[in-house]
Amino acid sequence: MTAAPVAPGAAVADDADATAPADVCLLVEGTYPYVSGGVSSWVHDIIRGHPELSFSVLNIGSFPGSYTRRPYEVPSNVTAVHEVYCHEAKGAPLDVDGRQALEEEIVEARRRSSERRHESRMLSAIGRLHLDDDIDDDLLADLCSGDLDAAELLHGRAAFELLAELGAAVAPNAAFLDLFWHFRSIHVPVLRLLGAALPRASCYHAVSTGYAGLLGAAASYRTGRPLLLTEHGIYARERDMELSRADWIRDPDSDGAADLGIAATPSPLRGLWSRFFRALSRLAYHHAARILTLSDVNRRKQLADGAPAHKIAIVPNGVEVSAGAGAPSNPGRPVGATARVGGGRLRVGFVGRVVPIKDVITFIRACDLALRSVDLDVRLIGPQDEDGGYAGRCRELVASLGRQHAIRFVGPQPPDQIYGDLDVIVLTSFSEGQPLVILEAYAAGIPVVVTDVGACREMVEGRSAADRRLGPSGIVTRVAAPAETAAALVTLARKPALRQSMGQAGRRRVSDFYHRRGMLDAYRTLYTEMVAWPA
Amino acid sequence: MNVSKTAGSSLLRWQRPRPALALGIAFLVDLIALAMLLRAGGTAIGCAVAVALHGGAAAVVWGSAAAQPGSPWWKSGPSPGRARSPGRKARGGGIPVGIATTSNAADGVRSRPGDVERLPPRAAGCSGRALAAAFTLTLPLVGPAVAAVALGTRGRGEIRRFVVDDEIARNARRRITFTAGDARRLADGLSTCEALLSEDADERRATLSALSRRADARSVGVLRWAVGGPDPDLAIEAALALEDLGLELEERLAACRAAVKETPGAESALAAAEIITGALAAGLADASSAPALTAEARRYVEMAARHGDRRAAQKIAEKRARVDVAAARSPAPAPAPTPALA
Repeated sequence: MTAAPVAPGAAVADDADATAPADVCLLVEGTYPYVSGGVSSWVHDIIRGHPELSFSVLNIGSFPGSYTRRPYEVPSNVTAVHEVYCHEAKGAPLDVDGRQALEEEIVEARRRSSERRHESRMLSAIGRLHLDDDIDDDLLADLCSGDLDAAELLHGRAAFELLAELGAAVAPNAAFLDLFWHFRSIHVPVLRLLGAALPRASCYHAVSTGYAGLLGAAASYRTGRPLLLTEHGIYARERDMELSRADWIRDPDSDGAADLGIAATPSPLRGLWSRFFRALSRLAYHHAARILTLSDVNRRKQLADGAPAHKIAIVPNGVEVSAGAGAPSNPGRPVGATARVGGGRLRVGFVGRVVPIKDVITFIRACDLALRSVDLDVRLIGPQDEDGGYAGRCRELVASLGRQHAIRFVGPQPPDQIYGDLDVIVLTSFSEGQPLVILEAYAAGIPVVVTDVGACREMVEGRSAADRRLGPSGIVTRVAAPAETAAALVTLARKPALRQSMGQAGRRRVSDFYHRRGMLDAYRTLYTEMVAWPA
Repeated sequence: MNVSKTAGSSLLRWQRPRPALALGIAFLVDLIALAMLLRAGGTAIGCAVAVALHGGAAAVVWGSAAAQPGSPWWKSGPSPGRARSPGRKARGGGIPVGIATTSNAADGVRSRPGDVERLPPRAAGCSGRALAAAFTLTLPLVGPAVAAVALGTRGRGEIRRFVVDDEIARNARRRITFTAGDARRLADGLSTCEALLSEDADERRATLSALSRRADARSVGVLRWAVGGPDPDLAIEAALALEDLGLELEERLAACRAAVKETPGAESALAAAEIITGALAAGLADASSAPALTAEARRYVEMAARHGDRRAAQKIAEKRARVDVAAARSPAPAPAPTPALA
């Protein structure tokens, strides 16, 4: 699908208006169908699970050309895949004519700004995103007014005055030049995205807040169609985690402060970004007709971030359970059985992408520790090409520990070939929503060892009273704690009965609470309601 | 270097200038010039010779002033070596505020840390020399004497400075950045651990960010504490920060390994050993990787010893000692895990 410019300074969208309106327009940020992973798998499953509905997909990317392949084959009920980008493609350096054209554009932007009789509504709304805590319908209406373009934001007097006001109000200690460039980086994508032509649909379904939530709210406002919002991870919290580690924002005097044993002076620019993302989340929460999340943990975070309680519902992920409750998906293997190969080795699997967020290093160290006590056959199952450097680091660690014979990288495998040959699944991630791999392991009657992130604890120990009565279906450890993970592995290796009971509990848990049919039914009901939403 | 004068007992103190011979010569030359001027009675040659002699006398005074105490032939003032009083302040109530390091003591001899060193008298400055010469030129006969008095007059006593170890001096130069803002934060700010547990997200974020940029033992210790702490969100962020530090270490180490492979030598080997010992000392290496890293650092030190010349011997010995210290401080190998409570 080719990308075509929509308007000067606006984002790029392809044939957005040309296609017939879909029943559901899915808005995703940097995922489906270009990046494999949990959210992409979920989107793919949702589309396949509702063949009676037509879908269009709007993917928000960073810049044109950032995606080179599609790991997913788009189902036939997808009418179109649209792309919009936060940044324009990096162009060649300007020649004399280009510089002259740019100068004329700047002069024109300044002229427009100075001749404007009323303040730009968009500019006013941008100010309110940072300076006001209130989110209301007027804010979205102002953002969608389209009375400001990127050139005027960058070169107009009113924008400069807003920048100065923001500097005085929320970033008094920031260097003005730093503030200017951050202001620009924050808001130019907003203008580009809001300037894009959005596909028509009977309802909009944003699969996160942030830019996807903003575009969903804008599309909903412009068309009068409802917005459904699903959050897997809590977007604003995830951005906060990134901002904490961002080395492109420098805190003033932080080195000297640490020498003195006191906390660093926070850079107001981190706060500027953080408040912006939180405002985007609140905007999406405010405008969404329904807010869905995967777990009670996430629901509590959404409430704390300003989501209205009456809109929130929990719809957990689900997987297919092949037979009735208690029956194994692999008929040749009893649930939680102590099936052994190679002289009674416990078969331990890591299933997922070999990327830093999964903390595969901790997994390898845990296996190395556990191998001092028990015999393990460890397999890392999943793609290694997303972060080749990290995967190489993991392989080097295995080699330096001298565990090549026990810890093997086997690459991606079809789901139906993964679980029949494993006894325990381990997940040492730093961050998760509600991992499908745990549910798939449960469906195969395999216990899990997981870190206490996202919804993992309630998936292992139970969410409701009825769920908890099933007993634990695995062991929860702290993040970055290889010794704890190793101890859990030793436990499961030495206690086959415990492993079996946990496998059975997991099997019942997924059948009762995480069945794919239940998830699809919940979304079908919601989509039906949204499609029939009065105009 | 920061040098200031110690307080003296009197406002001005006159020291008798020792090059009496030079000044005496100047006086005699000036006397001869005056006599010739009086005897010549206005002849052109006599006046010219007298003026020339007068100028010669001024030149002698100028030269004497330029060779003020400190030069080998101006035998004035106490020897710096004799003036040292190890480990305590200078006598006479002076406060030695100047700092010298053990390697740049005034007399070229390595001083010991804690010594108080009396600086040798310095030669007269340009203005002092000009003043002395001007006295000689403008005051016939008594000019050299007045110049001697001017040169012999000193300020509020001699200059002293405190001798510190080179390493301390380097650290002091690196770390003396205490600003008014720091003072305010000391009074108002939270400790690092308190800031990490703060309700204020900005404070927490900034503290994590500052810690994750520093790969020293203190920062790593605080981050490890946060990983095991009560706040699960903070634990995740701290774990991610440690992961970043580990990744950064791997990258630096990979670059050093490549450098050693490309240009094997004492310098590249010592640089690689330094990266590893730094990581071990900071606690970035865990129990499973510390033994292998220690062995690698030792290999690099031995490689440096093979390639290094006599000048590098001290560096190599220091590095070997650092590796030993880091190995002793690195985490003990974890015991075989016992079953966890399910």
